[in-house]
Amino acid sequence: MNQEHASKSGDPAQFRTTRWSVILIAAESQLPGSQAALTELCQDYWYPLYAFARRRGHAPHDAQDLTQGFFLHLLERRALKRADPLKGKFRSFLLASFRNFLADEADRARSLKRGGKHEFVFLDAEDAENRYQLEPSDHLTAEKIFDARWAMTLLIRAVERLREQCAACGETLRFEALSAFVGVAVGKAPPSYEEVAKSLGISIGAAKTSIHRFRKQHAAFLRQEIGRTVSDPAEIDEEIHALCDALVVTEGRL
Amino acid sequence: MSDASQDATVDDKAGATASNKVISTCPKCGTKIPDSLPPDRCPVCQLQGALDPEDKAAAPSSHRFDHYELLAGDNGTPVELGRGAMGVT
Repeated sequence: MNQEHASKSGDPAQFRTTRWSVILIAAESQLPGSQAALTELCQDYWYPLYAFARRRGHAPHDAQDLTQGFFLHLLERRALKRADPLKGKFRSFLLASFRNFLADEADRARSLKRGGKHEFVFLDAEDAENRYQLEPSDHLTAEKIFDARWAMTLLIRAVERLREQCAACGETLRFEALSAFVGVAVGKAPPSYEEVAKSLGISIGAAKTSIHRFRKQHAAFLRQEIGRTVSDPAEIDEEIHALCDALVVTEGRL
Repeated sequence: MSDASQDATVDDKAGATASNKVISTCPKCGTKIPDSLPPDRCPVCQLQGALDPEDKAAAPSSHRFDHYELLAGDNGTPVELGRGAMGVT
């Protein structure tokens, strides 16, 4: 599919490589599949927002309600009307919109925003809080943690894309043998070259080459995912540098 | 709902588990990374691997010879794929 134009089939997967700004415009126009694509896009990046709300002092249950409520607000397109999707990064758009949403919510009486025609199932409150308890707790601001979390989420997304591609090509075994060499999943140390060679039935030299190529594939998906979150492909490298800076600042305490 | 939006560093988290985490250093780029991550999965190195290939190719590198590229190991040194009578690959 052309990266900039959705098909009329209504399949959200066809927006898989589409830039965020184009998805927003498509969703505004009620293009088939675009609303689901927007939901998927939000689903990928909910945790950095949850961690942001917690960092701003909201209790776990409030942070959960606020994150859910924000996505409901966004997907009903009330927030989209305030945005200029042709400019800026998805990361900046989401954070600015969320901050506005938090400010608006603070002025209202507490009311649950769940329900309606959208029901979200992706916010696993227990998992979110468990992950949040591992966040750094010192001088880092909510914004710095948000950016670093965003970077980690992109790395995870790229692994997921790689997994999907391997599955589609009948290379699930290859993914399982090599997935420990990419991404940021904890507790999974990479196997030795000898173990990779044995599991894939190839020589050690071929195993080294496979690992190298696998990392390159991951990097390509990572670049593609980052490309979805900026308004111009020329901004991808700038965004990568900004995310690297955010990770360096956290000093490994995510 | 509590309004803590005016203070960006407010946090009611108890326990401060993260600040007690063991941190290691990436041998390639020097970034501090969680000890739970192997050094060869430094998130900064992975992100830098996604930089524009043309820019990286244009940059002088002792690991690149025309269209050949030396594979680098965890510490940045070339990986030996094999050796024989004609030399080391």
